[in-house]
Amino acid sequence: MAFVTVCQVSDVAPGEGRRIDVGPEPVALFNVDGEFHAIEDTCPHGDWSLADGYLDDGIVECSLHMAKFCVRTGRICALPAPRAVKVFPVQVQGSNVLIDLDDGRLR
Amino acid sequence: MTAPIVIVGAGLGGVRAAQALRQEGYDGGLVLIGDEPSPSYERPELSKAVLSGAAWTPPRLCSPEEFSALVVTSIHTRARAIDHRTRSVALSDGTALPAIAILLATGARARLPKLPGVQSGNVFSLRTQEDAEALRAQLKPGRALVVMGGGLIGCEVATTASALGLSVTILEAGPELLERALGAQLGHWVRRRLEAKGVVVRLDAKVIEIEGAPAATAVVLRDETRVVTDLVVISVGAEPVTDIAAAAGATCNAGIVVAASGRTSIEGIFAIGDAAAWPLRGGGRRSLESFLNTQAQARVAARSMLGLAAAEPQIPTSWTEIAGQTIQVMGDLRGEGELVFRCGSYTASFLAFRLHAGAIAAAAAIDAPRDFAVARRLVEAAASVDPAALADTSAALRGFLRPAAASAEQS
Repeated sequence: MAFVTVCQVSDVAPGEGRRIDVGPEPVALFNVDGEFHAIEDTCPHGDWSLADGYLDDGIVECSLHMAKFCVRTGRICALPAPRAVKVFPVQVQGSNVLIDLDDGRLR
Repeated sequence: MTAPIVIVGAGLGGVRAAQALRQEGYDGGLVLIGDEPSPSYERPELSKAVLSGAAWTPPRLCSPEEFSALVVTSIHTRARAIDHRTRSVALSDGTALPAIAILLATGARARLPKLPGVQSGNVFSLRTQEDAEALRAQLKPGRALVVMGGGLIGCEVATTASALGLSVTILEAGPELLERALGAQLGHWVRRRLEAKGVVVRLDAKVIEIEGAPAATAVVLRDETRVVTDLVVISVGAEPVTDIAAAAGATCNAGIVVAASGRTSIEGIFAIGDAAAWPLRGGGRRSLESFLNTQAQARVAARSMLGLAAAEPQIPTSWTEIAGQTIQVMGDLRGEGELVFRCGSYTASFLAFRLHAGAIAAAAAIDAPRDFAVARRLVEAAASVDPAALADTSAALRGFLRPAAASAEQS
């Protein structure tokens, strides 16, 4: 367990995503109406950043080929996703957003 | 024992339909008939990563674990005929397979023009993994390649081959590249990009003969120009595979004619994907030759086969990678109305919209996938917009989707 500060709460507006590149693998951080969630960033279908995707109601749609994933659980919501994505633990402390970048897991 | 659902064709449509049937809770027998030797795969990469050698094999449609979880009886053969009275599928070994429902996902084959020399050596088309592997083995730097047909596949092959160091010439019979896929204006823009990469493009180039035996050495045009070459790729379109459907008596017209539920003219027989002429939201019907539409059709037809309500006229949606650009399109960019460009016209990354009667009818994004996610929703909603406002990049695109949210953001 090693939570690290990755950005400020104000860096990611509600409905937006941000790619976090400081850990062993890129992570996509999303702000779902004030709640922060993090999943592995690289879409397992088309090698594309999910942080660049379209976030709607807690589900991110990969902007390249439209696979969809739940940002809370990492589960597949639409094909062509070949597998679920890993979820990373997130904490908000004051104005800081922290992610345990070593603890990505498939749920 | 109840007869199984039989799916003919183990490509994208067939596999996605099997997945959708299980997801909808169907737990009866499921038979998947496919005539290709390799596990079911995605075709879009054939002209890109597989052809370049960046990926040795195309991505699989689902993992071996997921495939076995589908509990599908896979039969590696060709379906020879359908008997609609007994509702059974005759296989090439003579077996007759009774079915409670039959789904035809037989795809399309490359159209081959009736020209002298199309059967010569070093003349290729590209539909299957086998085709891609055969062509890949010949794509050596310094060789000359003629691509006949400047549509999506032709332009993708030209991109890949030119990056590998071949001298590429595209011969397009029409007045512009990609006219059917992108309309003339964007087609023109893409042609400039290809030309900047060193691809030679000849428009209005009518081929009358492929010269050379046993292997092609030149392509001859109607104006008697000879384009000397080592290799020829024929990419002049696809023909829906309708043989067994037509022989069974199903209505076919440039594809197996289906309703928006996937039903053919014969009770109990359904069709999806490139084989099917599916109704469009804007009217008419056609084979869409699109990955995303085929996936959507598979979901719809799966529900229809289970007796669940389903009908989904399609809006053609596709993506391509040409001359280093990611191009995504929804709807038909040709047609009535005006084209509106966002991000200024003809910069490296931009959006193009077709507006008709004040509403967004189609959209294309060039290297702007994030904006395309919004643009697609605008097309789906047939959103009414002011052309000048749409072109103004200082206003967020999302604002057109939710006008209320946009005005809140601005305040």
